[in-house]
Amino acid sequence: MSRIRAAVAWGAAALLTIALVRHYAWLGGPYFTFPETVQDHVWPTPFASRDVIVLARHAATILPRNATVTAIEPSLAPNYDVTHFLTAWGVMPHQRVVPPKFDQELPQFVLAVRSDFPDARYRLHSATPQGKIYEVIR
Amino acid sequence: MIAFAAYLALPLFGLAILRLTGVRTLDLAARLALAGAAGVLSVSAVLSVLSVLSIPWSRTSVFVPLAAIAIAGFLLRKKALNPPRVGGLAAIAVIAVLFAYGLFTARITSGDLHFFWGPKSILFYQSDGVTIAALQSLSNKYMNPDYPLLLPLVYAWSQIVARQFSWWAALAASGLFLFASVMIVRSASRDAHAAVLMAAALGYAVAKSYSSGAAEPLLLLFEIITLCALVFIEDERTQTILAALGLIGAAATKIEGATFSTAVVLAILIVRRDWKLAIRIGAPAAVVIAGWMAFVRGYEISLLYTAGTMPMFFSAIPIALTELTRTAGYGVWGLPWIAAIALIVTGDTRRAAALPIVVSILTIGAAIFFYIHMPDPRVWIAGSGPRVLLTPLCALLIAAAASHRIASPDAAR
Repeated sequence: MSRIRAAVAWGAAALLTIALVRHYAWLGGPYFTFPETVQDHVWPTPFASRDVIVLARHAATILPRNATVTAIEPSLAPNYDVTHFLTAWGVMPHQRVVPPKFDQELPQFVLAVRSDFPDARYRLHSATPQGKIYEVIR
Repeated sequence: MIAFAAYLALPLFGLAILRLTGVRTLDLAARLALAGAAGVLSVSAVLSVLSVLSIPWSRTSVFVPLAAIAIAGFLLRKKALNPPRVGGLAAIAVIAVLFAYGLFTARITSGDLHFFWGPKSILFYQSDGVTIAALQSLSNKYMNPDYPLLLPLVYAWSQIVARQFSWWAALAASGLFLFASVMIVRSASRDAHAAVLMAAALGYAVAKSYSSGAAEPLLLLFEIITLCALVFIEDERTQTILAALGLIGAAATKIEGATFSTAVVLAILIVRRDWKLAIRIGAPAAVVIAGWMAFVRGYEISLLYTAGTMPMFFSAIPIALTELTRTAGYGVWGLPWIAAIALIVTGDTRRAAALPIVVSILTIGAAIFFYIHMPDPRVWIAGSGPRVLLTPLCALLIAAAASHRIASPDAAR
């Protein structure tokens, strides 16, 4: 019985280890490059949150301290995914990252990933491969 | 590196646990893991007390009490009692390396790390403590404001040491917590076979459920400590203290920890019919849960603790059962569960396995109870089910380890 038990445990462990490797392979390469963000390979196609991290990291270095900023995926309007602003919140400790509300006091800057943000109250500030930064028109 | 060193230093603040007789019989890796878990509680307690006293977090205000705790623990600790050698270490190391590969190539990260666990800890760090203003801030309203604070406090500890939040170190900490759990099971059960299975099953399920960086690895650590204490530790004092600390940790980590604590207390009553033990082990966690609930309700930041009062939809039971069964497959036809059950069936004793089996069943039942508070919980289960099921899976794997009587300390070599 003890041998059967050992065979079951080690056999299942081996299969689960192979399944783990298979899962990694399914997520795709590159396999031996240190990723840019902690979200880089969680799905075969990159999540928008990955782009938010990269864009927010860049924005954190060029936007003024204490500026109000939000992050959105414009194609989701008007029901913006709030996780984008939360993601930016964690990356931009020196700015004031706020929820994506455009019917109240407007954020000074908008980080838009995946598509343009065609809002007449904002003008383009700068662009990166991950998205664009818009500045409110005073 | 400094941010990660902060996590590695956690055992320093839990050295006092090495005084317990039942802990002294475990091997070095398990003793370090238990000291680390106790260190998590010590660090969190210090940060919480400073916040309650309105003393801002700083290296001085945090390091001084923690240094005192470390020195006291060092003086209180006792030498190991010739712990037995258990095999399986090389296989566990291989699985751990593979898991680390997933962590450091960003393949198994939880979205929640960036959505609220990380931001919440940064919020507290920037506020120099867990302040009412921070908890009631607009940003925190989006960060699951009534989630228990243990993980953000641990992440804040790393920031206090490194003066910045490291996302990679937070991920690495998840790996530490997970494999610390495995080392506790390995040494406490002395069953190398079950320990290797647990490493592979939890490594795979945690990766597949994208739990790294979220609270699940820490939750599992405390849950495993509780169950291992109750199932494998013979010294009564050690068993009570470890199980109680495990429940406190679980309850302070996630709302699911409160469910787990309830399940453990009920399992003790059902299986052992020992209400004194149930009270001794469950009461401290009950105080933590009740205190936190009163706090979040008092400051009107409670969202989830009132979910149980929402209407139930019994028509959702078939949907919940079907969807949970599908989710429990983890893409490998339920292999982790099947393997654990096979070990229980082929074991030579099932008495000790009864308690974790009951915990597993009760926590599955609790999951179904919560899921039927929505008329169609499919999306909810698809999103949270793989993580919620880690607790009952973990309990079943411990039952598998408990179903084999080790004849001598060297039997599992």
